[in-house]
Amino acid sequence: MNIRSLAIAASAFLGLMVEPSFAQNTAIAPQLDTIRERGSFRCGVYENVPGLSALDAQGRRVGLDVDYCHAMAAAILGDPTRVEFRTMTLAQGIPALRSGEVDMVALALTYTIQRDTELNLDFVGPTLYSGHAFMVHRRTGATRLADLNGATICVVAGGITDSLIADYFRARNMTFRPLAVENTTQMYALYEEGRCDVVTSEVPFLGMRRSRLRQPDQHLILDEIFAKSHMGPIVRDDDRRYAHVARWVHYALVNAEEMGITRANIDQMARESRDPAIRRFLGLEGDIGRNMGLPNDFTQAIIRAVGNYGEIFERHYGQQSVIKLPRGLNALAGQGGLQWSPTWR
Amino acid sequence: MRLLARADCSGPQRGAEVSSLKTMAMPNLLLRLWHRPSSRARLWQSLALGLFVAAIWWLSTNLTGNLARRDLGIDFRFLSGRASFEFGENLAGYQAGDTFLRAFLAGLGNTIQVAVAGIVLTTILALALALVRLSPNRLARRLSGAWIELIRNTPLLLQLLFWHQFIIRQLPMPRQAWEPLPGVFLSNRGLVFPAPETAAALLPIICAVLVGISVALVLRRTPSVHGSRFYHFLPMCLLVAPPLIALLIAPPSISFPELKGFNFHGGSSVSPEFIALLCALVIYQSAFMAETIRSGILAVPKGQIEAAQALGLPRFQLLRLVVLPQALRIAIPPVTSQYLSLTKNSSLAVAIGYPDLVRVSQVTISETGRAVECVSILLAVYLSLSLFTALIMDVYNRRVMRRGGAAA
Amino acid sequence: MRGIYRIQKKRFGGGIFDTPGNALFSLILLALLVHWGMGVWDWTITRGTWQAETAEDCAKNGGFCWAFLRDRWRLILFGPYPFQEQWRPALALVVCLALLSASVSTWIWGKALGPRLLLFCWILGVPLMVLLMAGGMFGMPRVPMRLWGGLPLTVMLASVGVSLAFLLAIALALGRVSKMPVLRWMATGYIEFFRGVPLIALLFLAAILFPYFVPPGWSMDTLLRAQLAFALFFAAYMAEAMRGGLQSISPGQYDAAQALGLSWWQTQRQIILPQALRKVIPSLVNIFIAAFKDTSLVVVISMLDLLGAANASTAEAKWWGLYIEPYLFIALIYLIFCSAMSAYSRSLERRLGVGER
Repeated sequence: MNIRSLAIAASAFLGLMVEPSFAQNTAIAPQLDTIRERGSFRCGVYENVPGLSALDAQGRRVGLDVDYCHAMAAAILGDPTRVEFRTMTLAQGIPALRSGEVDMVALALTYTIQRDTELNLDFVGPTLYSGHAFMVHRRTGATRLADLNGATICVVAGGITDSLIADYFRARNMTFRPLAVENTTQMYALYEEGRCDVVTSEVPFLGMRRSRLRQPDQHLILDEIFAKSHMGPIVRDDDRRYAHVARWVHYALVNAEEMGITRANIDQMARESRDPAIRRFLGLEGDIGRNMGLPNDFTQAIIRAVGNYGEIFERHYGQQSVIKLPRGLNALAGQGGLQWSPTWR
Repeated sequence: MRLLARADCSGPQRGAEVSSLKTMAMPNLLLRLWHRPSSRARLWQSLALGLFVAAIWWLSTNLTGNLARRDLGIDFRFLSGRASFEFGENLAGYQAGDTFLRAFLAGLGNTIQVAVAGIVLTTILALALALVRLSPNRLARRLSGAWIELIRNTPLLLQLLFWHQFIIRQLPMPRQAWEPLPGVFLSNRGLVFPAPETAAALLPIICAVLVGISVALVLRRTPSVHGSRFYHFLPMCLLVAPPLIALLIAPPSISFPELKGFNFHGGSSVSPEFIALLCALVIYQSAFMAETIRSGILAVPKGQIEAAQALGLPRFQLLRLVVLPQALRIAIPPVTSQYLSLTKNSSLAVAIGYPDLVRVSQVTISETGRAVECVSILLAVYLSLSLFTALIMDVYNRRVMRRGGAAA
Repeated sequence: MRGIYRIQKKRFGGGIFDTPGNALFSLILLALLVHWGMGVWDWTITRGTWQAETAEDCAKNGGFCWAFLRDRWRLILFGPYPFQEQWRPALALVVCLALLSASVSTWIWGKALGPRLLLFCWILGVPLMVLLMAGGMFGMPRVPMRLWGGLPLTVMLASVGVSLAFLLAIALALGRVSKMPVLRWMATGYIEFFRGVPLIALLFLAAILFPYFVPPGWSMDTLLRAQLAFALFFAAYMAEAMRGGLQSISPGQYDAAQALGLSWWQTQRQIILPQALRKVIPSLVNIFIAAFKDTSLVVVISMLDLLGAANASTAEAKWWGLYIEPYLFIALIYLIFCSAMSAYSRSLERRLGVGER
């Protein structure tokens, strides 16, 4: 037995020794435990999309997606401020979620079958129902979707918008030239420069962006909606418990609005309400929260942090915001909209 | 040694003496191993190999563990899935609904398109810049030196973003496009020019060019009659005549661009992103290459120049016949690494939205979630390009060494 | 090389007005220069706007928008770092520049204790810079890493990256020229891999794939990942430069060391490396210049270095539409830094080249 073989055997043994100690890592750690151990909730949001996620004048991050991140932190950790925001572009969102970099991604991603089944993701919400529309310069003379044949259309890379447009145009024997950009700021910049003829987004965002362009009346938002849009935050579905928590945080917000609980009256409701449904919802009776792995009064924490769905909507999209979007499809199901929550029992 | 003496002196402890000899032999063996260079070398190498193996093992265990946890796995079959994103322009004819493999090939085609155009233009510009840098006029030398310093000391990404903004803002809309040549239009949607309707129409011309080149190469081997004018112009005739004949016999139908609706239809076009990328890459890389070519020219032994001057050669002929051939031979290795640099720098296209390989990779990861596979494809492609170039350089170097020419 | 220049000068002249052809050419060049210079003067000074609130006001004169720079220069230089605390990155920048100048001065490398003193300075300096930027102690409020940006970020990314790369590159270079085949293959493999891929691909790898390769729960800020990618990337280039230096040491040095009975490590540390490193300092400075410029690539992984901050400075509606002003401003900054470094590198080359002969 010479030295060479001895040394080779020794290094192989060293390698084998190292390996088993890391093999234990393949055990699945529950996501809720990971978040609690870490002490903060990691949320992927846009850098600067007003309404969804942007910095206000004091440098704090505000937006509809931001409020959902705070709600998750309130539910799981009890403290809505324990959120780590990771800003990212649309193309970086799903890879960051799948790699475990963030716990939830709130980039206004559309609910699709492929994302749900093939990519193993679960959707929260939808937090916003709307439709995709186009905005064009008036100088192009286009007034209907059929006039857009051959146009150059700016889209943000990494989403499904360009494939939606491709489906729509191909079905009608029309063609278009896509131009993929990194983020919405660049998209509107190129559109205003004239690099692309048409820009596309969801209807509320188009309206808001048009008001920020230099000559708003030179731009026309076409009435026809070419694809439906239902967006919301996304989580991984490998941990069923955690995915349930994420979905029911949204339902809690809608349910609160259905029951008339707001941030202003939550304390009074918790103290004085005799309604068994409300008491069960707020965790004063029953074990619903505990069976989910959360504190029983997690709904109270959520509503104290961000209010109910209606308040969130009004704050970022509605009359209190610059977008001034009417509730429309986003009203409660009993009031002509599509937002509903399963029974809290 | 001292232990042995002690064991010798004390007779009744003979059993202990044998065992102490054995325990003493171990450190002696290790010392012998340590002092012998060959075994020490083997020890170090085994240690290094062991550490390397352990590191790779740790990384791969983490990778497989993380992938298993997320229900993923390394699987390249996604390449035959249908991609739904759209490109602008590409050579591979990819459209939304084609396979991901086709999308990658389209991205690769775009990268190669930029690289080839970039290499050709950079070489021309760098040669011109190098010659200006060596001009007899001191003002010209200083000015070109200042230009090269300016370009070399600013980041490429900055220049690229600048060119992109410049082209988009300064060029007019298609309705008011510039027309430098009939049928060629320049606007902020890109450059459109007349082109044959189908690629197949170019086939006779390409064949003719290839035939001409091969005949010229064959004729180079045969000895020519010295001083005969005919043989001087034969190669040029062979390059020019066959394509002209092919053009006359089978003229390809050219489609001219026309402004219809939003943009030009017909003809062929390159996007403003391509133009911006090309401008930035060519200007940046030519500054570096000019310096390389200049050092190559300056490295030609001065005896050669003196001899040529003694023969009475005028400056242009001196450059063309004596200096440049030798200079280029010296400069070819660094110039080739500049070409490779250019190809790698073209990956910056992702910053302005030109759909090259990196962008395809990024969007595919977003659509399929296959991050590890896509990034490894990306790295593999660039690595193969570099290793291929290194191989060619190695072959070239060995040929030059064998011929005994100026060592690279 | 000087000989060729002399011949050129004698045969072709080297002057500006010595021959009629030259004189005419020079006159044309001068005319063009003056015309262009006047255009630049007109655009920057005569039509430049010093007072304006928005980009439209600036555009009324059609000149250089100095008002934008007056409003935004701090944002471009320091990124999103809080206004009140911007003296801290400025101080960190000064510390970094001091460390860098010490690292490339031949005086330090010439001294016997020089390298150790340098290492000591770096070991003190880097934590000091991080402390200044991050805060949390001595009454300085904490500033999270995602708010670091601008010029200090650029300089720190480049210097810390290149210093880490330097240490790794020594090991790689020694491995590359080693007689032991395994070490040689490993070093060559590493060098060829990192020289063959573009830096953008490596940054994407670091940003996207990092969580896959480490145990769950390990997390590293994007800045640190970018730093790691830079260090690994430039180590390969520096190793190649050092290999050239190592291979240029005459074998007599190795023989003399062996005759003196020095071990391999003693030989390297006391005789070979000091000579080799002193010779390749110009190449290393060139690699540092390249690293300094390449830090601008972090803008594609959403970090706000100098170039990113310049892009962000026009993102607001107020100044939207300007691109020449911010780009020219940071081009000037890059130009100053890189020209100074390349001039130093050239002077080093001249000095060291003469010394060797």
